[in-house]
Amino acid sequence: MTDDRDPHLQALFADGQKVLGAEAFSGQVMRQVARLQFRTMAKRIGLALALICFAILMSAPLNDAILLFTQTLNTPVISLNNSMPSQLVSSLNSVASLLGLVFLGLFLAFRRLFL
Amino acid sequence: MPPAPINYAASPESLVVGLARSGNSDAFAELVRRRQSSIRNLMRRLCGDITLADDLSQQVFVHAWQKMAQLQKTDRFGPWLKRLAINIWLQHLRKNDALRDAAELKETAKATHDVSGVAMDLERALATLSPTARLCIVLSYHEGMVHQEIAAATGLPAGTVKSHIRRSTLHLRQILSAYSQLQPEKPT
Repeated sequence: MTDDRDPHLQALFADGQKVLGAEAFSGQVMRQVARLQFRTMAKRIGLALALICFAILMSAPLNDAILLFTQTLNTPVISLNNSMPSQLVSSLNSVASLLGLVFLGLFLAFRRLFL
Repeated sequence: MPPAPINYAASPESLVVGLARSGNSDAFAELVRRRQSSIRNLMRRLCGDITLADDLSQQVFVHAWQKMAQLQKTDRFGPWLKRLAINIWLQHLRKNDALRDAAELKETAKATHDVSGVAMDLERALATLSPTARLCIVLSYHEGMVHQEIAAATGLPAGTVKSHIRRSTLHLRQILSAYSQLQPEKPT
């Protein structure tokens, strides 16, 4: 591929180059940049305030939900009447371990099928 | 003792770019001062309208400010800014229905051909080209970019760029011939 340029045309393009005054133009650009900075700052402050309000409003229900979730995870899957074996297998005999096994099975199946 | 203020005008560009990238608006203002002339000239060549060219050039710099963090190498600021300018121009063309503009420009070209013997300056000659052809020819002659660079910057196939430049050069030579005959001979 050649990039030969017409010399006459090139001379015309070179003659047309002007050095343009910078002050008014850069002033306008920087005013736009300042407006943009202000808007970004206002957005960030708004988002932070919204997050704080959300945290305040939702703290009690969130706390309850987390508590309920952890209690559910600790619920034994099989109820054992004898306290000694029940304590020995308590870490395995729970909803959490069952969920863990399910996820592990899914992960292994996905790896075998797709990877 | 407070630190001495930075003299941005005397600082190397890579340093100023680095400072602007970290959010320093004074450094960015210096970059605008340094690069505004080339970007505005490029836009003027591309659109042929001084007011629109300055508006689009402002958009280029505002975009540059927003995307400064994406600039990987500080020494590549110039080409990066030029690429941004080309993208802004292409966006403007898409927004304003380039096909409709092209049809209008072809009519203008036909009209100017009918007025034989009238000397035309480069600006008016460029206005007779389609927006894509004009973009290719301006990037080639004004910016000194090679065909591959133009293809990469515009997203056009290299063959299309080459044919646009070849055909537009012939077209411009033809309509500028009257103008060149009026030009005084330069001493060799």
